[in-house]
Amino acid sequence: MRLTLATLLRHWRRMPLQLGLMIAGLALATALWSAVQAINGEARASYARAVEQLGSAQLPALTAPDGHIPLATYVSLRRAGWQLSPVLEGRWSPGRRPVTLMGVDVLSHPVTAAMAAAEAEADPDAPPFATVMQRETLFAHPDHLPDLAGSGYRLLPLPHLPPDVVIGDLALVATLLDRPDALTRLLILPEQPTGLTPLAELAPNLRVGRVQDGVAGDPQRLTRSFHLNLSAFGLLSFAVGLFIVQGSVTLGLEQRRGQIQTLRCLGVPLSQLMLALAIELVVFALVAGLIGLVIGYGLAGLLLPDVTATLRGLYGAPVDGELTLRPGWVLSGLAMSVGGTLLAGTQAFLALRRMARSLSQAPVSGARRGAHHWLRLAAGGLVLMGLGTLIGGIWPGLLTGFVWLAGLMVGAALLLPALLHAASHLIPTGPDSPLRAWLIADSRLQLPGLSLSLMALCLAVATNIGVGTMVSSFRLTFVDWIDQRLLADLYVQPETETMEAELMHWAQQAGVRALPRYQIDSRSGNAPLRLFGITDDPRYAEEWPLLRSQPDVWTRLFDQGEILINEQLAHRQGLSPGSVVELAPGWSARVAGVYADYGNPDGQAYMSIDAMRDREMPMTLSQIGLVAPAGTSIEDLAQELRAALALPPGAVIRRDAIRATSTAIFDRTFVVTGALNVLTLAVAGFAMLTSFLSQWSRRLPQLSPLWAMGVTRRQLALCEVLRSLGFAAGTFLLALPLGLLLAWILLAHINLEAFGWRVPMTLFPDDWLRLFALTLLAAAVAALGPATRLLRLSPARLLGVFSHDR
Amino acid sequence: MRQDIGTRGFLLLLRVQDLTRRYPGQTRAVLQGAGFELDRGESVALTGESGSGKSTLLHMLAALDQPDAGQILLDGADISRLDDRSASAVRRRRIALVFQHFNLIPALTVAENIALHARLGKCHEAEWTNHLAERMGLADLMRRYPEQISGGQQQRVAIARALALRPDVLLADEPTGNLDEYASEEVLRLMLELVSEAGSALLLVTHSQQIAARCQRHLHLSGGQITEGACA
Repeated sequence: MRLTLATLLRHWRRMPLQLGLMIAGLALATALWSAVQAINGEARASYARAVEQLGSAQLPALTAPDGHIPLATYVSLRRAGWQLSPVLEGRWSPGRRPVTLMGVDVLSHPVTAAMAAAEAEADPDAPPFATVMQRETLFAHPDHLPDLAGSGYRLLPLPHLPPDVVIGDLALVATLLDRPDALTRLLILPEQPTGLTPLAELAPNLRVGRVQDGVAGDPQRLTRSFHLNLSAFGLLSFAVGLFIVQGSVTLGLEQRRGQIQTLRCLGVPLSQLMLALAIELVVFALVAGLIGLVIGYGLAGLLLPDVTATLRGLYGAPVDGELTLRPGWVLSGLAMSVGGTLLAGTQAFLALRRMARSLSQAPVSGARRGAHHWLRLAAGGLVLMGLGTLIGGIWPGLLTGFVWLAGLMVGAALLLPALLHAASHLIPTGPDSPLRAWLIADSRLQLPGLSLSLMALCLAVATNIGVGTMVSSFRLTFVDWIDQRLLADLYVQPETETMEAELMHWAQQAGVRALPRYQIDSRSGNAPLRLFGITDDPRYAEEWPLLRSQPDVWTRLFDQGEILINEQLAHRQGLSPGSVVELAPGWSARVAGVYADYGNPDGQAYMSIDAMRDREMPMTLSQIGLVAPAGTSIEDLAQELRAALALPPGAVIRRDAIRATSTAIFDRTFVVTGALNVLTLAVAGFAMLTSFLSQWSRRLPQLSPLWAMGVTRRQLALCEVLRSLGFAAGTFLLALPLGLLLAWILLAHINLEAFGWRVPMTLFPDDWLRLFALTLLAAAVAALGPATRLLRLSPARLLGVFSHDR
Repeated sequence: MRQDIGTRGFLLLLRVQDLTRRYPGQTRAVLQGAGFELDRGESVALTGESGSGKSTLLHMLAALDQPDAGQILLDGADISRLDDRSASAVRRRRIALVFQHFNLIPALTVAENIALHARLGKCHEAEWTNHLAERMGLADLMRRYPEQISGGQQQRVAIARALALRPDVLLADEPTGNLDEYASEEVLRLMLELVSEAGSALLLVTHSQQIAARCQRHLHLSGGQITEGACA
């Protein structure tokens, strides 16, 4: 066995380039996959830590339909022997930004341990919970502490808390929220005495369920689409890398046909050859896997800051910016590498089996594929595309959306060689162009060997077009949306009611129209719902386009108590203009219109400030927009306002500054997507290069006779480049519609499932041209190596093909 | 059509003078001042031991390789020092090769393979090509691919491909070396008949004295020199 393996491995000493390319391909694929997994793993670990810090995720809780549990109910349940931990939660505005304030019972809530640790770190000599019990201390995410500086309380950091959640003792929070005798929920602690009266009897109006602490919600749920997206990218890159491995392994076997024949003649059984091949592949996979993990770790380190920014900015999800080396990640990366290599080697195993049984079979007979082969492949592709569409169409959902995408992409990849084969028959070849006729016929012969790398290229280009179109369409819509939503020229967030009054007074005196916006945080359909109250102003009707609306929508809003809801709330609850929606327990309103909202995944509703005031719920002023009178300089107005109210420069924000910041955040959000896009294309280009180089050794006997017939090496080299360009162009032509379909699914279905909004699709032909040029460039670069080799090839090498007797 | 073969000196086609070729790293030159002449329409056999330089000589005659010294005059023009472009043009229009291992183009059908060289040389005559295919017994195999026909049939395709050009010189390197006795005899017979019909000169490299005896003249290569052998 050892000798068989050593003999087989010896081949690679003569083929260092081929071996290097195979290892590099697999390492690159593993690197991208493991980088994505490292990022996902880090994010998930951060979410888990956050949940662990809050400690309540695993515990069932009692909640009331109206969100308020009377303190007396809690007391009666405790008296009945139930071990419960009370939680009070609400929105609190200590500074400019409202936060979720969570009051817990420090003796029973699971977050206690983290609070005690933070307190001990701040003051090692103090007895545990001394300051908490004295109602002086609040805990928040370290990044959020500066915003709370003016609250007047002692602030301690709890790094894994969600950014806008503040925790404190129950009594302190009850005071701050002015809700002394109400609770939001009661956590049912794990250890309960036996023989208790059932909760359903003691408190029939309360429901038992699992409720996540903190209005920010479950980060795992919110960010699921983001991580699924990253994983899909990683898997795509890995699959593209496997095409490289598949090509190299099969070629390596083909090259050792003589060696295998000899070994078989010397009595080596097929099973031993199979085992030797398997060991060879596993060794390569482990080496490449380790290299890939090192590269992947570095790549993840580079991308993580942008991912962290995205997750915090877009979803408010807490993620540490530091990467941790996890044994599970290393093992799964290696397993992926080994598993993928063995999968990619399946064809090689089958080829070895065939080879060992029929040694006289000429290699080329295995390479030529008849029309029926391509038809079978195309039929398989069409079936996959149909199945994917069927699944995605019948069962709408995030996961089935990705299944739809996968079905379309793999199906189209299988369709590609058949289409290229068919297209080659459409190119006219007259008797006057024998070289063209040969080039086309030879391209058909090369197609089986190149088809995998072309499929990889097709997937990479389609992904590039699809994701590029999605991001660009989204960006265009987002920027447009920002412009429409920023109705005022200046924005101010008053910190106190006095300041609010002063500001409104100043605006009246200066002839400036003020657009104040108040807010209430509520829940609807067991999901967070933010309500905004606005004053009547013609600018809303003039500049705020709605997706769907009732006639006289603005009159209905300001005079008839109807509301506008965002698209995600409409989608989630199946609402449309005319529907009635529950805004809070006992408070419903009719929907007058639906507006686009790309700023957050949660539900929102707009109503008149009078309708909001009627409810007598605690509301906060979120901002005041100021519309500069015609002909007034916005900058002068801002300066005047700052001077009049003695505001710091940062307190008055110009519309264009908000627009610039929002756009910058948006762009940063898609840095990772862009990077993965480019990397996938690079891997596909690399796959093409390895295919061409792998085919190189087979090409000489096919090219030498032509040279002997008077075709110059320059002409042959040009043919190689032209073939590569032709294949790439053909591949692009299929990838373009596929990419657009991908974009449509991403925009109209995946986005809808993930965020609840649909983004109109815009076409960007300039981007396609750029990508087409890039694809041709990648193909030209990939073919340039073999072409240059051919150009520089000494006649002796070409003659070697004919010199059998020397 | 070319003129029929006349007297030898008048119709001289190829003159090889003082040809020397040494491979890098080898002390002995494989060809050392070799020379011979080939008339139009003449068939000449070249024999020699393995490694004597027969194939090397053939490659230089086809302008595939260049000598270290000496001249190869084709109709009086030296083709031994041509650049790649000019050498390719000579091969495309005037010289054809047949190899022991056939060297057909796997991507092309039998019909396309046969027509390829003539088309590259821009002198394809469909009638002549069909005639060759008919004579070679390939008419029913025209749509097949090389790997779908036997070795003997492949070599007949290679010969037809070479003759479709009506080359001035057909250089054949052990054309029957890979065939069994029956196929070998059949292929040789057809080749000699069709070379004559095409009006081409033939230089046939072979190990077999029997095959050499079927040609009009016999040259022998030994020690880097060419000597005149017995005529058939």
